[in-house]
Amino acid sequence: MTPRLVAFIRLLRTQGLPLSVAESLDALHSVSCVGLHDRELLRLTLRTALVKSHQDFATFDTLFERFFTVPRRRQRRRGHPQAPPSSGVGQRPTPQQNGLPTTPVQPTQPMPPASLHRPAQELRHDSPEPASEEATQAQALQELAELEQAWHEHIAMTRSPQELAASAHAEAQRAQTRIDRPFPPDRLADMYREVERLAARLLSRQALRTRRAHAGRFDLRRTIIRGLRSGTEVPFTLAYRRRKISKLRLIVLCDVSGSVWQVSTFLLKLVQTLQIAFASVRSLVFVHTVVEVSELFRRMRFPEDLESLRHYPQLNLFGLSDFGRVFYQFSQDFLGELTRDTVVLILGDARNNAFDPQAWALGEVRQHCRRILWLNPEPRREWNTGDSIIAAYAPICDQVLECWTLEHLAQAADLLLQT
Amino acid sequence: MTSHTSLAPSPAARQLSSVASVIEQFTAVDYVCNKETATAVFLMVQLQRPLLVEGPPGVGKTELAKVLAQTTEAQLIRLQCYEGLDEAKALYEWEYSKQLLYVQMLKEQLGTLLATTTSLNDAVTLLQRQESAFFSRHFLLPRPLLQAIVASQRTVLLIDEIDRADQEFEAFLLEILSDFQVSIPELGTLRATQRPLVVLTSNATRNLSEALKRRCFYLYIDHPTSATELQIVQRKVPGLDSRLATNIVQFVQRVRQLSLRKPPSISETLDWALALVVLGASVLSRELIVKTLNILLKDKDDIARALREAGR
Repeated sequence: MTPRLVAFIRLLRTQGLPLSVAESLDALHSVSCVGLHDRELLRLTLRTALVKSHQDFATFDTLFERFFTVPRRRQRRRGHPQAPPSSGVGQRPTPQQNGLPTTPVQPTQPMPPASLHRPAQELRHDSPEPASEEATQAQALQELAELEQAWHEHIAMTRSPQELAASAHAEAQRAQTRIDRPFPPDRLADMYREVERLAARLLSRQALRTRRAHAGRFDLRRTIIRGLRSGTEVPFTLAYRRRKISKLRLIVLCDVSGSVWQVSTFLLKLVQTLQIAFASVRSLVFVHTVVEVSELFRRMRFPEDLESLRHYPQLNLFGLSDFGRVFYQFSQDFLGELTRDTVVLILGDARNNAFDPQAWALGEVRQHCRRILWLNPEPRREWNTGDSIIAAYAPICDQVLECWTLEHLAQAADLLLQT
Repeated sequence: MTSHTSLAPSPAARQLSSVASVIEQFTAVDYVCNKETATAVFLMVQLQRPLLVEGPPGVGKTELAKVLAQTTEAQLIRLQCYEGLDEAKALYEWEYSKQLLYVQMLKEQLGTLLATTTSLNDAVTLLQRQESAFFSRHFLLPRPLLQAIVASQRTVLLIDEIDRADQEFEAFLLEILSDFQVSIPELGTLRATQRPLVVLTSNATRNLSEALKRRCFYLYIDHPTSATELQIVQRKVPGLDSRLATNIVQFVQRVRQLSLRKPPSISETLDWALALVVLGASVLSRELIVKTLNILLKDKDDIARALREAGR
């Protein structure tokens, strides 16, 4: 095997496949295991070792097809009457091909070995080929060993402090990404994945918290009392002091009017991933009327199913936001649902189009639930400007946060999970 | 990282020495597998890497591990994951009550042992010397992971539905998978004499961590093609008329094209085929479908949709 494989791995990386050095080494070992005689086998081998998500299979297969295509010329020379590959000479985006003559050689005249100049030599191991000669295999293995050495040197070189700092910087940058601006469609799916990752991180933290609380602290007093009660001097059963953490119930009330639509969908995605941390989740969306979408939401896929949310019956996306009306309606319909374990999460910019705020309705809601958390997708300096009336609602809520970057979203979710 | 290059080929590696032999030996025990599956199995056996198998429920992920154990004549040790699974349930636990029971029973002996001591200090020192008796293998309750590590015979470790376990368990699993040794403070380090073959399955209900994926080979098993499915049905359901088998498979394949909540899996196809054999059916009539479709599909709306499709 040659640097060709390394080039291929680099190409996969540029296409967004997160390949580590360890995986590259695995790929090399795997290839040395199966040999190079079967192209299909090579493809499956590389894919097994390198691609860890079936969503990336298509990308991999396309690139493999383009990268490891056996040129017609060589096949004829070797006298293997196989069907010519679909993509012919000139399609491979590789530097190696530059030195190759593109005119086909007569099939009946085998090329003398002396004429194998260097680029062709390299190509021989690049592509799978009939490994009739033992020598080829041995040589390939030899080169593989050399390559492994090169990889180790490469690892030693690339783990520089600068690089680590750069990746930390990139991480910080990502957290600052504004989520209230439109994304190109291909970026959007990434962002949903990002939100999911964030939620997963919070979840594991939450799981740890619950576990610690559940395990409890050893209670010496009760252990001894229990031991005495059962009449044995050695206390058989240990007693623990356990804190009881009951799961919260969550009601999400989400403005989905045009101006905040995108942030809302990110929040919904976040809540969806977090829903196993709650006893129950009810999701309501509104523009000027509250509509319950819990059923759709539970198994909704982002961003594929967003259209069905958009066209949900009774939801008029083109109406004017009316928070007052929404809170009034909510207090009428859902007051009975609220318990002391219920957290109400509201997302909206509080731009009320000069309707009556009806803040008293929200006050009523507050009296019946545990907490109200309000996320505003506008930067703080824009609050209470124009028709924004967040000041009318803020005193009622337990927390009011701005929410226009991933970092804000993370903070909000963290608050949400606290009891 | 380079450790496996120096390893002598394991017996399993010698047995499954090529992709073709994997296919052949798996088919011999009625597990029809395609080249992708065979390649992945071949590589995991050769390079002794864990294999992460993803795919929709019921496509034979768990079965793959069972068959692997069967063909390599290894013992199958299964760890079923669930939310809240922790080390005590996955690795080992001290048998606290058994320890106490022994203390209780050995009370007199302890009395005579300590009779010679004069001060409390001496007694404690003496007891400390005996401590190892109570933290020995006798009082250790090995759970699947430790079982796989200390097993004297060959093992296949199946970690089933890893996506159900919490993320911190995943992190813990990483340590085990990378070097197959466990440090028990009271006993020291236990090392695997032979690496178990590890198969992890996931229904992809959540994304697994990159770190875990990096350490595994990856296999995605999808619903089978109609040719493969026909082969499976004919192998697994004896006494099935070949025309009926074809009809069943064609119907199931068509049903999978509809966007259902839960598309039928192979195991459900097999159940359905078996039921039809028991009912003595020879052709797949609409009437028969209406009567038995609840075996294939388990959702009211899905059944209604499939029936509409069957009417066409």
